[in-house]
Amino acid sequence: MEISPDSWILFTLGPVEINATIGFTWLVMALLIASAVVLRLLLTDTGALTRWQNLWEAIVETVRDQIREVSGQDPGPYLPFVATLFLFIAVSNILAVVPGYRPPTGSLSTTAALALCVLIAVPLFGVAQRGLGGYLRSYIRPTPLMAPFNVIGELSRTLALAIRLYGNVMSGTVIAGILISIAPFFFPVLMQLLGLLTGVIQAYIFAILAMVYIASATRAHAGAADPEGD
Amino acid sequence: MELDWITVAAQIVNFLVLVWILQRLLYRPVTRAMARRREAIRDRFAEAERRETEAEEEAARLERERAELDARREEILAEAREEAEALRHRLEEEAREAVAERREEWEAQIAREREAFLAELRRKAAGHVARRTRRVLDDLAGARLEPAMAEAFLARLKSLDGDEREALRAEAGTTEGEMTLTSAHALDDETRARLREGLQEVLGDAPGLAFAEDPDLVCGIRLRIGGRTLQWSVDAYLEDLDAEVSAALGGDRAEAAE
Repeated sequence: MEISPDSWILFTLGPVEINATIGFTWLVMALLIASAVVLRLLLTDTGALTRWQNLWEAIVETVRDQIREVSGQDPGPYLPFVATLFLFIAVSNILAVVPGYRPPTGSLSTTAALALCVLIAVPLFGVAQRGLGGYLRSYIRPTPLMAPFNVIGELSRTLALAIRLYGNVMSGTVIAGILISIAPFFFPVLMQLLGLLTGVIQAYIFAILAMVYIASATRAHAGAADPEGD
Repeated sequence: MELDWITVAAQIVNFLVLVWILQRLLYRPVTRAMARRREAIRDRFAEAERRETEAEEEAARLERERAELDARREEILAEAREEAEALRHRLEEEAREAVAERREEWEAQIAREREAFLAELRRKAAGHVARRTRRVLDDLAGARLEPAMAEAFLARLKSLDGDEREALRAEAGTTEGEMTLTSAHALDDETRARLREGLQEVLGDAPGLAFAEDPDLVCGIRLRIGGRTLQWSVDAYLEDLDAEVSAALGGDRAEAAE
């Protein structure tokens, strides 16, 4: 039994081998983009909303509310990044109930890639919000002695993001595989249902943590200048 | 636990592409649609609020107008009542005046008619009585009317009380005995002698006695001494008749007036 979908080669595109991680990632992307295209065709400002538009508006509005709650800022700039993290991870995990599918989030490569994106996005948003100097000064607060610890904290939480998501999804898949071999038919179904729940929760945790990190970069140190800001 | 760096790079690219595409296709349109709808709803609420305010203002205005109209209606009603009252008074006054006028006219006419009737009655009655009397007296044993009248006149003359007799005498004194006896028809000598004798008896003397005739007297004898007159005539009875008829008519009129 293969633990990582990275080593499962789906097909080769010329000289490039496309493994299951990338292949199923494309599948998830295709589903999301198709949904967006359908929504775009149905989108209306006036009159009765379609159920499809209602669903997507509810999702987008919920994400916006969460961002606003965590950061206390206008969710506009952060919405694409955070919402895409959530949607991509949630859809990847939910599709795990489909036989033959391996969630790309069960690959450490995918979770590392997403964590790296967060690692890059945090200073980008911080600099965009407060300027380069303002952002860099946040590493020597409260004293310059704290700078190494701040840098280590930055890296370690990125590692934690990647490992947490990978471990949860991979373990879910592995547990399902093991249970099928020792107690077939009924018990694995329950575990799969539980997997649906944990999958969505993981997506939520990943997106919220990303937002928390971004918010800490854009706002937490502004709190030093404005103690009442929080 | 392996990490395939090529896959990691591919996944980063995949993720960034997905972010870009979803931003274009999903987040921006949905956010804009929601914002537009929110705007539209806010506009609708504002419009509704504006209309409600307008409606309230309109209602207040209508209420004010209604109150004004009520007040004006009361005013107009009071005015109309006053006018009607005045008109009623005026009409009553006019009607009363007209009735009074009519009544006066009517009474005047009644009075005129009564006067005319009485005059006619008197005239007719006098003529009638005279004729009848004359007939009756003629029929009686061939007696002539004048001697009987003379007797009646003399009886009246003699029946005068002392004061009147003295007054006649005094008058005869002032006219130095001038006096006139008037009758409807010429008197015969015997009657004249009787009358002269009677006068002398009452007045003492009648030196200037003259006799005259006046058909208007109808039936009677009249003595005139200066400004005084004594007469016996059917006219006296006729005047009684007249008085009685007048009284009867007056009674009728009084009854009619009730």
